[in-house]
Amino acid sequence: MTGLLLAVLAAGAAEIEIADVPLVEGEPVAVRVTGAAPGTPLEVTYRPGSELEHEESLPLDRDGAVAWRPAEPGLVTLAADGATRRVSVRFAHVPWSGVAVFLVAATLLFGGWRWRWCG
Amino acid sequence: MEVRGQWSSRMGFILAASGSAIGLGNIVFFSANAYKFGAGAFYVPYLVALFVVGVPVLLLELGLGSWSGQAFPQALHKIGGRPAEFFGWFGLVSATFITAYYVTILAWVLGMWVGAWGDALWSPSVALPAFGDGGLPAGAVPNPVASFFAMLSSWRNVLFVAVIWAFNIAIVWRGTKSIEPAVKLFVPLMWLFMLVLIVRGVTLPGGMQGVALLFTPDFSLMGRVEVWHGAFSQIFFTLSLGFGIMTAYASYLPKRSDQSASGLMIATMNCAFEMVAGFAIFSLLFAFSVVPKASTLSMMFFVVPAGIAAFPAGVKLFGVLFFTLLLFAGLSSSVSLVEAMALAVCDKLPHVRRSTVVLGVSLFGFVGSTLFAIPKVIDPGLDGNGTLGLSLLDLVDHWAFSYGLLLTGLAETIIVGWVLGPATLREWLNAYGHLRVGKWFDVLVKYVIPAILLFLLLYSATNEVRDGLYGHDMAGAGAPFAIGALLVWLLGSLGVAGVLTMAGAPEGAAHRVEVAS
Repeated sequence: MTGLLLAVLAAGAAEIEIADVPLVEGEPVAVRVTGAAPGTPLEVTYRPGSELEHEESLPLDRDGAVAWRPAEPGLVTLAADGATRRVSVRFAHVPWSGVAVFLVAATLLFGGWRWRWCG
Repeated sequence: MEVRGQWSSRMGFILAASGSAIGLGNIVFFSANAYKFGAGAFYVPYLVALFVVGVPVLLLELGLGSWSGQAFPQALHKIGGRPAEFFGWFGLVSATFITAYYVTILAWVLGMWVGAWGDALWSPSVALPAFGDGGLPAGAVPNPVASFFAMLSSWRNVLFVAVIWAFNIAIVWRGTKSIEPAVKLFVPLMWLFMLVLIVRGVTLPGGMQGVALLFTPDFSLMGRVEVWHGAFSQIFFTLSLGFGIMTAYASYLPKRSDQSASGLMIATMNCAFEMVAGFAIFSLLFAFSVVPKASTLSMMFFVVPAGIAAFPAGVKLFGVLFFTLLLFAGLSSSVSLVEAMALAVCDKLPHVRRSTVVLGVSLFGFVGSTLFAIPKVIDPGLDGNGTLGLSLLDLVDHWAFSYGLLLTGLAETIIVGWVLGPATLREWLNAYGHLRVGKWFDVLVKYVIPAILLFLLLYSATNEVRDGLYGHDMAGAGAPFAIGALLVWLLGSLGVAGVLTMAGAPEGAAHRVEVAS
């Protein structure tokens, strides 16, 4: 329950704007940070809060813009100069390994119910 | 002397046992753990853990109940005398600590359920006068968070504790006669409500992408010990093992009942519910880009409500539905916890009326639940747990839940594996079971499961030594509280277990069974 700890974030002057389209793994998208101090990078955190969490730092140009190409699907946090924004990145293709895990799990778990009728 | 009850049907028993296993953790904690450990990568160790530890220990506990016809401590007494019985009581007293704070959490669910009918939880900002210098202004934290802490810091939550205990007493009062109708109502409704939430979740834009995220593995994580530790712990806790519940419930079955098929049914039903709950939660997380925390409370009270608040329509309806689902799931689990203890005391002291025992256990639990609901704000900045009650709950949960159940599980597998002999229990299960239990059961119960449980305990204990008690530096301000909670749980459980072991005579229980048969 230590995850209950709350961080009340102070509102920063910067703001992260992102093109209003579904984000897809591997497809570039324009990100713009308004009001950020010059030289501030855009910090991209993939799968925040999980064992898979890892970061990527992208330099912003003079206008505070960058073309970001999401490296992987899932939940992502974007941060720059005190501003944060959470986004979801979609799979580029059908994740067949996920389909396989789903089928195995569903077969074992829902298949087990038939034993109810054995007795 | 009262006659021992029996389930009126096998379906009644299966619904009661699966209702016990399916609790708050199935709905939210599984998803939090799955996200933390790489989603699909968590599923493979999880399924391995289900069949290597979950199903065998469940069969063991069910077998103990029908073989002995008695509650958990008395069943262990039949194998190893008073020393074995002591471990049974230790598990039940630890479970009673858990019952106390579990009811408090359910009381908070009730408080949020009441709040879900209004607007404050969902739209207008809520100020928190009790927090911060002069209070936190409206909008300082998201509304579900503010509503939760507003409720937590008022004495209203003690009233909710009383209401939840009243429900528990009413359901447990007549044993199987009152538990069975309740679970026959709760469990189907839980599935129905979950189905509604799944349909809503997967039809949100990006909802199915969340489901894909739940199952798609990153195999690089599977070599890490933390993932396997998380999966085996999850299975042990999700099936309500080590609480003595399954033994108590199975002791209400006729001797000739099929335990092996029932055990597999209960285990798969529980894990299937977790799987579909993952559908609902992950679709919501992805659709609204909500980052989960590996905590039941934050998932229940902040993360999922934040997602529901973002629904384009029907926010109140789905909010009320979600908290109703939590209430049903929580109540079907908490009544089983109360019943496991009440039945054990009844079996131990057959001349005491059941109603007296139920009230005694409930009074003890109510006092504990009230302590965990104390609304005194000790952390105005909300950097920690906020109130005294929640901080106590956090500490007791860490020791009683993370260590108490695994210690009991280790003791019961050693007692059955090395004193009774697993073959005796396997032959008992096979005598009336259509699904034959093979010799793999003997190997798992005698060697593999004790080794795994010992590893889980040592791994956690090593982390305590390395990182400080529950993350508290031994020289830090939090250490005395962590040590205090450890001593209260450990000495309390050992002391009460010792007294109960020496009290009365287990023969009384056998007499009660004869009366019933």
